[in-house]
Amino acid sequence: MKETWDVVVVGAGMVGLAVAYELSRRNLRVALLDKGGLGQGASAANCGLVLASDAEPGLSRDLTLEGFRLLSTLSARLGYDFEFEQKTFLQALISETELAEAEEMLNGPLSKPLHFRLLTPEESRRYEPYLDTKDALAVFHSLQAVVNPLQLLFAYYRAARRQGVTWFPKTEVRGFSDYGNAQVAVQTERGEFKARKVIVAAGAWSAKLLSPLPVELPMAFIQGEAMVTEALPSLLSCCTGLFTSDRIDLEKALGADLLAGKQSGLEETSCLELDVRQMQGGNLLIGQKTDYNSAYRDTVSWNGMGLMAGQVLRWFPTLRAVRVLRTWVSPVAFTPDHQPLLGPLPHFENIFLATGFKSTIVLTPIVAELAADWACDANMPYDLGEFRPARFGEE
Amino acid sequence: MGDRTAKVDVAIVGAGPAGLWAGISASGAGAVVSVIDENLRPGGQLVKQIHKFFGSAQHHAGQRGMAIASGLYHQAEAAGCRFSLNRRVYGVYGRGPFRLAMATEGGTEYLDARSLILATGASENALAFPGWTLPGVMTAGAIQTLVNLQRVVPGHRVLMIGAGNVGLIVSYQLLLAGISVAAVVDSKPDVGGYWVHAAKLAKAGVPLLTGHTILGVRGEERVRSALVKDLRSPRQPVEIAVDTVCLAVGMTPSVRLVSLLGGHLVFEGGKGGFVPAGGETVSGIPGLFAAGDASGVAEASIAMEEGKMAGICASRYLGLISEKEEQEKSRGIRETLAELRQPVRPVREEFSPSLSLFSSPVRRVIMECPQEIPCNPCEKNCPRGAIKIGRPITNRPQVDHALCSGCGNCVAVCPGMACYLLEYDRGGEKAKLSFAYEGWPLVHRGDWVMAVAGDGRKLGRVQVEKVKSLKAYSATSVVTVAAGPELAPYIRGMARGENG
Repeated sequence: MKETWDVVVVGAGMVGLAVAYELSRRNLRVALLDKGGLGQGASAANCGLVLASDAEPGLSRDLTLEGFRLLSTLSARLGYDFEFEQKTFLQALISETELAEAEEMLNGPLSKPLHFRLLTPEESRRYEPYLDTKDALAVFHSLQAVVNPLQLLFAYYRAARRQGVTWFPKTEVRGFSDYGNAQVAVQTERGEFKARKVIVAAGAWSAKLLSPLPVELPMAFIQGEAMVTEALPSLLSCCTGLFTSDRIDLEKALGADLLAGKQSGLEETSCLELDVRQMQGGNLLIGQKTDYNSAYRDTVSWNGMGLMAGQVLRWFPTLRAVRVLRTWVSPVAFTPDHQPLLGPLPHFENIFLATGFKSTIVLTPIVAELAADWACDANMPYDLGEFRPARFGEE
Repeated sequence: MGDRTAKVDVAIVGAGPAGLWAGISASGAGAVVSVIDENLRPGGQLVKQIHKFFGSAQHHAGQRGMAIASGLYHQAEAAGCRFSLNRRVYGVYGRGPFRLAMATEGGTEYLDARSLILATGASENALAFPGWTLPGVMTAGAIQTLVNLQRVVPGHRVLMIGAGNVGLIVSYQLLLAGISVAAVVDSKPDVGGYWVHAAKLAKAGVPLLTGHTILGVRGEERVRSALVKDLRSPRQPVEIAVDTVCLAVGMTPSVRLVSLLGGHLVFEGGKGGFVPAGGETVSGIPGLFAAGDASGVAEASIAMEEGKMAGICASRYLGLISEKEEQEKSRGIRETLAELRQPVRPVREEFSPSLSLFSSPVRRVIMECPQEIPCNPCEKNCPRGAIKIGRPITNRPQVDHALCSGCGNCVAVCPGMACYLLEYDRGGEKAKLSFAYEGWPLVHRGDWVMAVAGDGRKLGRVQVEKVKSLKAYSATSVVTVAAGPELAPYIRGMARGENG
């Protein structure tokens, strides 16, 4: 490649596509690279939840709320309907601890924007008549949103291409070299891409991709397993799940291990965060069992499927005979402090990393804008210091 | 002539399942019985049936038709029946006794019988369309005779007309013989035969074209292609390249001997046409009885019960059993017949594993048995009593997975090949699926085979971990393949030949 790009974006998942779209809106010459096709990593496996309720206070929450706001009007801007829908989320509370935690959230700052309420089991049936709440003490109500993740990917792709982004599928990155004059050369199996700036949004593969550079990025895989059923007549109107704090504890323990660079000694490295909802086509999307085991695998586990199906049937016994069309597993990036890696790399100031998001979809529009701001050397409305990729090597 | 006329208590015309059981039943009551058949071998249509039969253990369910035929023959011989084979009854003169005229190779023979049981079966219907006289168009019975009895391949690619049980079963038999089946065509909107029979074809990737009809065949000296039209669509017919068209479009009861005797016939569409009035006791003619397809086209298990019934009725007519004995013996048969004659409702069901399957423990029997059909070998062969069907026999099987030992007997004996065994290791990372397999090519441990889903979709290559072939499984193997947990619940068999 003789020409020089303004920006090379590595990774054509949700974040990479959104970044490419934002860059092209600012009239930059953009090359979008992926080792495979569109959204072949975690993006196509995404459950499409636009979650804001569990954002941690601080920058994370600020970005989440802004992302939520941007997303609600995004389909008009992209000119494509990706099935964005405000949705009632119901989460069953099955222990006193959870009840106390939920009551605390009712007094928090997100309570009002997200319509937090506590419902009695009987009240919850008004929202979801087939929900069997026999085991629940109460049901936590919030108003969040969902999208069709595949349609969102396509919406970004279409808009980006229309605005002139050049797309290079099956172009695996092998390394980077510094050219001086504020240029980076991205070495790929299809030759060299020269660019002023590079944005890496390769999800769980980002650490491996950047491994040729002397940068410390303690990242691991989370394996998310999910399933989709046959299309049914309109049956469920909410997104229903469990209200559990298992994941947070697990993440803390495993994050510490990861930082210390040791293999986790925990016996149980997985947890279930049930969410079941009906998509516009009628199919039920059921997610997700999360496994923090850091070994990459490409097959689902029967245990994971069993946990998910068991929980769905516990809350919706009427779905017993519903047929499962497909199951899948997808690796997601996991960072020791469960915060994203968002910002330029230490010592490689023209390479920007954007990965490790906990709830990717809600953050995608704002992350894309921030990355584009960086690429244009514009002032960013937020201080991303908290999320700087360099933070782990500094102590 | 007098010298050549033998005398018996009961003459039975037809040595199929109905005739054989009539013989067993009448001989058991002490009658002198002669069973006459035009073929060299007794068994009727059973001798051509290489597939496993449905029904209950008492109807030899799980056995292959030809094995049932020889079993019944030996049973009838042991009961004292005499067999007059290779004889065609062309006339019956007189009613008391019935004097049967039989054409033999040496000329006519006569037989005097005090009572006559007609178990003459049915004849196949044909279907007329442009080109139907071309070589290559034949009925299902003819193709079975060629392939299953005489081991002659009539063609290499067959279009089956008729999705009743005969059409579905014969299609499957053709697949076992290595002949490819281009499609099964039926003008009705639903498959008329059992769902499990259709499922065997679907697994092999044979399209089931319901709501379609054949418009004609093309070819000069023999069939080269067939024109098939979708009845619900204005589109042009499609031309399917085949060298054989097989007709399985119903049967008509063979009632000519009833007519000859002046018996009264009534039309019953559900039984295939004109049938003798009065059921097993042909009304108006004392001592004349009918059983099996001749009294109304139905399944072989029904024919067997009707044969038993006719034998009892004849014994009572001859005064060999009392009225009380007759009632006692016939009560059970009538109950069984009532169960077996329950209409089988079509089901439209496509299977993928359900949520409840996914939520299950480590080992699980999958039973894809959605239709209420009379069948229970899975229940009878489960050593732990984990499968429950009970009465009526048309109940669908219920599995108590806590009792299941994973022996695979149900997988092997299910005549519909609709049982599967799904197992996972403790970590849930590896899975195994076992399915029933018969025919060619043979499969061995360690082979890599193409796994297929219930609709014939190719899922990917998997390795055979175990092949279990017990003698009791009657030439069926239980093949266990290892696959990933995302694939295993969907595997229903392996591809074979062109239809794979």
